[in-house]
This record gives sequence, C-alpha cells and structure tokens, in this order.
Amino acid sequence: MPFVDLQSRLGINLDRWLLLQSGEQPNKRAARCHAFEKEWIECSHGIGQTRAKKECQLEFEDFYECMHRQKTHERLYAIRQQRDKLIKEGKYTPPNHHTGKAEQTP
Amino acid sequence: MFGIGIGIMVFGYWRLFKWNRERRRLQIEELEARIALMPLLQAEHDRRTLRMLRENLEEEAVIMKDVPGWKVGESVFHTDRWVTPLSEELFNLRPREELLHKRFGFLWYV
Repeated sequence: MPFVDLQSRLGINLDRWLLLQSGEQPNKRAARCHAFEKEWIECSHGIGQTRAKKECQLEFEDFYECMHRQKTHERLYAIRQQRDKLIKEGKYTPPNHHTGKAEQTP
Repeated sequence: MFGIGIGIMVFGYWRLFKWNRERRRLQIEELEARIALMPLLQAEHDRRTLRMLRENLEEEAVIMKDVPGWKVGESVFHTDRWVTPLSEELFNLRPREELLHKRFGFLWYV
C-alpha cells in the first residue's frame, strides 16, 4: 500500500532489500550494472512514469544493454562472421596472438 | 574392544580437527599474502585487459574494412564512462578454449 508504508511504520525490512541492485548489498559488493542503474534512477526520480519514459530513454537503454548485453553480443557476432567469411575466401589470416601460438605475457 | 575402537576413532577425530585448524591458519596466511600483493595483481590484470582490447580494436579495423556503415571501436553505450569489458569481448577473436579456460578454469584448481 503506497500511502500507508507499513514496512517503515513497523520498522521491518521484508522486501526492500531486494528491490534495487543499487541498494545495500551484502559484503558491500557493488553490482555489475550499479552505475547504470544509479544514473537511470537519478534521472527518473520524482518525475512521473510517463515523463520518465521519454526523458530517460538513453539511461534506460544503457542500463538494459549492461544487463543483457544484446547489442554487444550482436556486434561480436557480426565481427566473427565477417572474419570467418574472410578466412574462407583466403583474404585474412589471424595474427599469432589470436591463435594459440604466441606465449602469454601480461 | 569397542573401547579400543572408539578410542582410536576419537583420537583420529582430534587429529583431524587440529590439522584443519592449522590448514585454516595457512589459508588465511595465503589470503593475506594475496591482499598484500593486490596492487601488483590488479595492475597486471588491467594491463592485460587493455592490451587485449587494443589488439581487438586493430583486428576489428582490419576485418571490417569493407563492411558498409561500420564504425570501428564504436561503443554500444551512450555514455563516456569506462565499462569493464566482458570476457566474451576480450576473447572474441581467440580460439574458444581460451574463453572457456578463462571462465571455467578455476574448476581445475587443486
């Protein structure tokens, strides 16, 4: 119940601890997308949902991308496809450090 | 006879618990050493990450030369911040077993 706010009244924390990635985490370990979520929340706080959807579109897209990494995976897939195509046509050979041959130094 | 058996068992348990406590102390010492060396390890790891990103960028420029409408090194995010790269990004152009080793190699640790 939004106006009654039972949990603060009774002083208990039934589910507020799992509402946000950017809330307090055990052992103080930050979530992977903490920054993006924080930006999105700071952008969309206080204004209503309709307005937030329009104005915070960029932050939301970044947060979504951080969580699901869909664009990243598509991009990597495209690069891999193109590389395999070029290798099949014989126009490209991967350099040594991209096959197993070069020795690994930090 | 039961007394002897139970006595041996109790003695065995006592030795086990003592040794486990000793192992715990040794493990704590190893962790402390790791904490002490953390700047070095972090710096090495960061250098390695940056080097792999740089190599991937150059390879991407070479590979995607003829693809129309491709911006090399374009970030998928709208922000300028540093985003820690995924293992998939770093190991994208390498043989798959390197990625698997990075992700699951800890299972082989004895």
